[in-house]
Amino acid sequence: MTEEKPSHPGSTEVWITGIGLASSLGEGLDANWEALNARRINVDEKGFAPYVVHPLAPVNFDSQIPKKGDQRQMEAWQRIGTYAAGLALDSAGVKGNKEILGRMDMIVAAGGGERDLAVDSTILNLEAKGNSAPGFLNERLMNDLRPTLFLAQLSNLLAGNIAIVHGVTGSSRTFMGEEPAGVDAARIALARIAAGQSDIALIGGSQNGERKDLLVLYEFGDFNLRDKFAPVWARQKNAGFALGSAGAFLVIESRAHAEARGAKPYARLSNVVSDLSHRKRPGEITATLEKLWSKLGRLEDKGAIITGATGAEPVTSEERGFLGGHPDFPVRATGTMFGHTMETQFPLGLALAALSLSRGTLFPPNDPTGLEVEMSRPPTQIVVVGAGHWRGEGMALVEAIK
Amino acid sequence: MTASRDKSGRPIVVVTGMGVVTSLGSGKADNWAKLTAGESGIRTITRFPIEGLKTTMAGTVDFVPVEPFTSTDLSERLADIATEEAVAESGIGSKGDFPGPLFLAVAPIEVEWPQREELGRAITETDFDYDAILRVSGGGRYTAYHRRFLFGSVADHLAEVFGTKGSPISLSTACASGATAIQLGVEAIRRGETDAALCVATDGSVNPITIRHRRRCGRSRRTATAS
Repeated sequence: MTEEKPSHPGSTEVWITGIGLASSLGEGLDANWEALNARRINVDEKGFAPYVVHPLAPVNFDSQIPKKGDQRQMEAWQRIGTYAAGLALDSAGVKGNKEILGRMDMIVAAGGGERDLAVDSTILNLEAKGNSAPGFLNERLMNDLRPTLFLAQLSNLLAGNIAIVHGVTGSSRTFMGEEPAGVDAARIALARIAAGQSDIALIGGSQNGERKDLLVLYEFGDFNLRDKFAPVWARQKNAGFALGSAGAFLVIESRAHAEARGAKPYARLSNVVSDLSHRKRPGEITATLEKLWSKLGRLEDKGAIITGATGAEPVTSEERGFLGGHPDFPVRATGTMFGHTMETQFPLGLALAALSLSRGTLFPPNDPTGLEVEMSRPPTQIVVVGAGHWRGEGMALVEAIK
Repeated sequence: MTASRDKSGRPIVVVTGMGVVTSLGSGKADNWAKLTAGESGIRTITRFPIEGLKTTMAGTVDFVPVEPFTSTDLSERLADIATEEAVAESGIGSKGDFPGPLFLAVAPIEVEWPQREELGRAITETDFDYDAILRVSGGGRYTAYHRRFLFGSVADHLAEVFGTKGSPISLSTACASGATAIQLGVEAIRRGETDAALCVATDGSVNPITIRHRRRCGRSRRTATAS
C-alpha cells in the first residue's frame, strides 16, 4: 500500500459557490433534490437488457448550449458535461463574467469518446463473411468513419467545449482513469487554491451511461448489473453497477475571492484525500479507507457520509466493513439513485453534500437493507467517499458554513 | 551553497533524472548520437498494412516487442523503459519505491481492432448487431481486457512497478499533456506536499484509427523525467 503526504487544508479556506447537476433524476438542483426526497429512481431495465442503466432525464440543452452547431459536433457525454458546467457557472453567479472566467482554472474528469456502433458491427460482420484481406479494415475505416469522429473522441474535448461555449479559459486539465479521476480533480483544484496557486476553479465530469461500447468494457470484467435493479446495498447475490448518465460540476474558490464578489457559499470544501490500494489481499480497501478517514481532519458528532459505492464486488463489501466502523454517520449511496457515473461519481457526491449542507438536511435513505438510516438533525459535516470499482480510494470533507 | 528556495520562498525544483525512448532509439545516449548525426526516426509504417491509407509514414517505435500488439501495451512498455532510465539516473528512493506521486500523460484508451475482431470471431450467429458483441464480452473470457482498456491502467501499472506514492494521475490535454504532467509535479513540490515527483509522458498510439483521423500536432515523442 502506498501513501502520500496530505495536502495542506486550512491555509486558505475554500468554498463551494456553484453547483451544476444534470442526471437521470432531472436537471438542476431543485429537480434533483425533489426526486431524492421523493425517493424516486429512474432506471431502464429494458432498453439495454439484460443490463440496467439510469438514463438521462429530458434536458433542454439549448438553455446552456445555445448554438445548435456546437451541440451537433459534441457527443452526448460532452453535451451533458457542457450543460452541467453551464449550470454550475450560473449557480455561482459568474456566467458571462469575462474577467473571472478568463482566469478560472478547470479540471475535468473525463472518460473517452463514443464508438460508431454501426461501423464497428458492419466491419465485424463483413470480416465474418470472409473479408479478411490485408487492407480491408483500412478501406472500411477510410470510407465509413466520419473524419471528425476521432477528434470528437478525445477525452479533453469536454474541457475544450466548456472553454468554447462558456469561455472558461484559465488553465485547463483533463484527468482520466475512471473513478479516481473525479477524486483527484477535486483534490488538485483544492490544493492549488489552498496554496494560493489559483483563486477559482471549475471541477467536475460527465458520463453518458447509455452506451453499449461502455457496457462492453465493463462486461469484460462482469461488472454490469444484470436483469433487475436493486439498491446498491442489496446486490450481494447479483453484484454489479448500473451505468448512469450524469453531469456534475462545481465552482470552488477561496473564501476571500468569494467574499470580494459577494458570492454566497453552499458549503466549505475542507479536505480531499486519495490513495491507491493495489487490492491484492482481502481487507486492503477497508484499511485504505480507514487511513483516509483518519486524515480528513476533525470530525464532530453531526456528520453524515455520502458514498459513490458501486455495487461491484469485492469493493462494496470492503466498504461496508469500513462503514460499519462509523455507525454514528448516517450513510447515503448515490449509486442507488443515480447509477454509477464513473468519473462523475465523486463530483456528484460533492455536489449532493454541498446541497444537503446548504439546505440544512440530509436527503432520506433509499435502502431496504437498513444500512442507510434516517438523520433527523441538520448535518454540519458530510464525508464524501469514493472507492472505485477496480482501483482508487478517495474521500472529501465538506462542511456547513455557519 | 546554492539557495534551495526561490524569491517567493517556494522550493526550487530541479530535474535529477531523465529517460527517453523515441523512434530514433532507446535512451538519452542513443537518441543524442542519432539526433546530432542528423538522423530521423520517421519511416514508412510497417506495424500494420498501409494499403488504402493516405498517411503512410510515422515516427513509430518498432524495436520494442509487444505481443499481442495494442497501442496501450506499447505506451506502457515505452513508459517503463523511459521511467527506468530516469529513476536510475536520479538515484532516488530504492528499487520499486519512488518517494513521491506519479503524473502521467497518456493518450485516451479504447478497445482496439484486434480485440474487437476477436470478439467478432467468437460470435456464432450471422448478420449480428452490436448486442451480439456485448453478449460474448462477459463470462470471464476477456477479463484481462477490462484492466487493459481502463483509462487508469497504464498509471496503475507504473505506480505498482515503481512504487510511487498516493493516487497516480492520468491526464490528457492533447499536445499539452506532457507539459501538464511536469506542471503538476512542480506544483506539488512547491506546495510542500512532496519532495519528489515522477512525471511521465507516453504515446505509442500509431494505429489505423489514429492515422486515419489524426491531423494534429506531432505526438511521436516519448519522454520521462524524474524531478
